[in-house]
Amino acid sequence: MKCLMALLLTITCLFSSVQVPSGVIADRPNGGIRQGLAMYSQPEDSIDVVMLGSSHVNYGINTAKMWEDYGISAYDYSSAEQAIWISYYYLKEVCKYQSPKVVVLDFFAPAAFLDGYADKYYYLKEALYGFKFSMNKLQMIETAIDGNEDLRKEFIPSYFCCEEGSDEASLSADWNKDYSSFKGYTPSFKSAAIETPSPNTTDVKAPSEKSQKYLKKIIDFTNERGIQLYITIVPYKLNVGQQEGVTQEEDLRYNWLENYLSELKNEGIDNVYFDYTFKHISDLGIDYEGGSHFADGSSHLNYYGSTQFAKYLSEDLRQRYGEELLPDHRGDEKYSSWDVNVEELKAEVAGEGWEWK
Amino acid sequence: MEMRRKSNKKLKLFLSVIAGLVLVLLIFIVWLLVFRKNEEEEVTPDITEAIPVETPVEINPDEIIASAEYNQGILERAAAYKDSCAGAFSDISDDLARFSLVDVNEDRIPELIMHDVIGKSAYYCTYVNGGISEPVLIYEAADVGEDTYNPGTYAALYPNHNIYVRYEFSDARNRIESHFFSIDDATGQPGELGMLVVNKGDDSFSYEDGNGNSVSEEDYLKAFNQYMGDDLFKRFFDRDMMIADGEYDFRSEYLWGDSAGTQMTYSELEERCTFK
Repeated sequence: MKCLMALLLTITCLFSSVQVPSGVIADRPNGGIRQGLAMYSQPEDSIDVVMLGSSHVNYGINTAKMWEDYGISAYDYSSAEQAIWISYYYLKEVCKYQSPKVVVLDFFAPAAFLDGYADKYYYLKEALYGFKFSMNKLQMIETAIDGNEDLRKEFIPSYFCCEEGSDEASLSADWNKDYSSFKGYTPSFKSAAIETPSPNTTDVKAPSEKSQKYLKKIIDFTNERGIQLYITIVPYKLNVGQQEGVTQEEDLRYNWLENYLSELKNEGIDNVYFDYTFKHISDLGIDYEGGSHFADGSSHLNYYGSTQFAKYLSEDLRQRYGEELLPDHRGDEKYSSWDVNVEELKAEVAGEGWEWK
Repeated sequence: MEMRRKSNKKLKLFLSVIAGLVLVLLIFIVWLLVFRKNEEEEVTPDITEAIPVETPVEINPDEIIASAEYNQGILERAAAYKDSCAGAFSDISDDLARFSLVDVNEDRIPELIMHDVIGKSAYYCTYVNGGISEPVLIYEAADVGEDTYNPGTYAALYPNHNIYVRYEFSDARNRIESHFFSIDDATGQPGELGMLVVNKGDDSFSYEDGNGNSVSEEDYLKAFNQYMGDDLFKRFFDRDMMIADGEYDFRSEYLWGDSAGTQMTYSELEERCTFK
């Protein structure tokens, strides 16, 4: 009996330790790979507002709402736990094919994750596998792996390395799909109540030096190109523990950001705006404790919450930048893929039994 | 004495007559050269109008793309390249060859781009003089070892702009030579437009022109912009590397959803070629 148990245990351990087959990162829409792929399918110079950041973005900003009610052509160019240096290379990539007027950057990742974060590379494949090979991609990988040679072999695989290559091979069936109607948004149809955030708005702590460096690069890049940079915090549950033994101090980093941007403004850099949403949370119309706007106990807005936030964001963007910078493109044939996106989302919402908002 | 005076007088008279005749002759020649030429110019248009002028034959790209010469030529070149790929990496049995039909030189007749997915080399074949040209090298990595994702040479190709750039990397990509080419319509061969060099130091870059002379950053950027044109420069010039990134993905094994007719296997290319 003991031998049988031992055998069963051994077999279980073996199955657990074997790398999960590549089908796990097949065309899931919510991790970042499809967001990366679909960007290349968008009509050239059609995206006016591009959103960068973690999954808080692709769950939390309903691009169909921004289109249907405001005619704003927006795209969630995000990936799971997207580090701010990944956001920088994403920004360079999207500007090869698009001419965004506004970049909306969600600051959750640099606030929540420091350099010693244990799962720092966990979702890196989600960020990489939707990206075409280019010098930009090579730089992104080099920056992300911090000179780690083992990671180099994993994320910059030689063609001779079949195991890594098989992940990409599993995606090949999906890579020739027409993703032009996909705008990055991935609604969640779950509900959960969370406590309303109460941030410490006094103390200040800086994000990691690497995060600071790439924040500055994003600011410089947008400034040089005449792009407005709108930094925000998509609503979520503040300071949830990410790693044992590490105290989350995201609000202290938002305080740092506020001070930092104020200093930059004094130096004449005026294309950046920070919406410290946690300081005026009641203005957003987000239901925290009623349970109707959040999908899970910590991170993501659900379909209703993301629609409400998109409404708030659209109105703030229009009020701040005007219709001259962000025109209403409804009725323009060039933007018909956004109409298709709305229809596809309507079908999905109806299929889930939720009410179209 | 009197006889001699009479002789001199006659000689002078004779010489005067000769001089006068010469003068008249000179005036007549000048008149011929100046005034008759004008008459000829006035007459010339009439003459040329009578000469039939050969009208240039207009090429219909759609007819060429549908023709046997074009399609069979494409497939012939592609088949040969596929076979050569198989021989290049003896311990790999996978199909490494990929093909794209991309109009590079803006003549509305797609070039055949051929490359391997390992990143060793890429070629183009263009329609010229009624047929498909021999493969022209775009780039070739001299030494492709195990680290095939770190090419020693690569290229940036831009459809519909008739320009591509071959990059030669050295010193861990801290020195990059950019060679700019366009395709000559008459010969199908690449014409090198120029070359620029950037060297990356710890905190700054330095630049050279095609002759190895040191140039300022401003002049380097101006030259780069001139080669590429404003639109491509604005979109693809990368200030972190101080070179332009490419639009075409030479490494992709797969057909990207946004790019019909690119990164095809030989079978997919065969399906696509309209004349069979």
